[in-house]
Amino acid sequence: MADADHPHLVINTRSGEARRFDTEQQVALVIAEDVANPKDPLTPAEEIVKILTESPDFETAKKRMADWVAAQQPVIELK
Amino acid sequence: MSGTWATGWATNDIVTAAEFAKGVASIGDTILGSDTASITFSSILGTYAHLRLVVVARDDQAVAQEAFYLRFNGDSTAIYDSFTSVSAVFLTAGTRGTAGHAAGASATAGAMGVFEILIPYYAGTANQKGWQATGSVSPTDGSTASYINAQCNGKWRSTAAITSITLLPTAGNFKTGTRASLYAMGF
Repeated sequence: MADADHPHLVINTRSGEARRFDTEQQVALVIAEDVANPKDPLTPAEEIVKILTESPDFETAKKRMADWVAAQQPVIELK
Repeated sequence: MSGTWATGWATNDIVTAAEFAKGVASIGDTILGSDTASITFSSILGTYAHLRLVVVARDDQAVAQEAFYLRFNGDSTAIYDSFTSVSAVFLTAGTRGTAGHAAGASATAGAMGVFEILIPYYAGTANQKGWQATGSVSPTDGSTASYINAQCNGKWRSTAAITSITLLPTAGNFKTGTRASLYAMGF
């Protein structure tokens, strides 16, 4: 169906995803989910717990931890 | 060597994540490819200081120009108090707030309303939220007819953190080519 058939546009600022809906009520459901569960970034402690609990084994956890630490700072080096 | 926004930057400076977050960045942008009844920016992160929304708008109504509106968090209850300098009318207890003006279908082809909307301290929870917008619409080439230069300010009587912003025309649709860009500004 053409975009015009789904006249309400929602842009998720975190994922960049743009979706279209038929009715304001459908948009309201998406927004209500935002309000109920604002997705703030995880704290460092939460990130560590997530890595440890979601890794299938210790070696994977070690590697993911090392990658995560390396990704923290610096985020940019000016050239 | 590590610079900051305050002290300035030099070659080989290391920018920390905290310092980087003090900048300004685009977090959402759209150019309508078809007529659209509403534009919503959702899932707005709460860690920035202010939001700036840049809107270039046209709608499909048979007028030279008319207002467009905003809503926060999908809230359509009558708790928006807003003002537009065009009509000098204070709209109390509206279900949406005046955010700018769009060119209408009677305007010259390609003419658009151009507005910038600042929403300061949008993520706080202690105070009600306000916005201030400035902009203009020049509907007819080379003519002052229906030209407007407007300020549109208002408040939402809520202390909730803003996590989404919806733009709405007075009626009908925003036309193809309408563009909205959302910027987050750091502390």
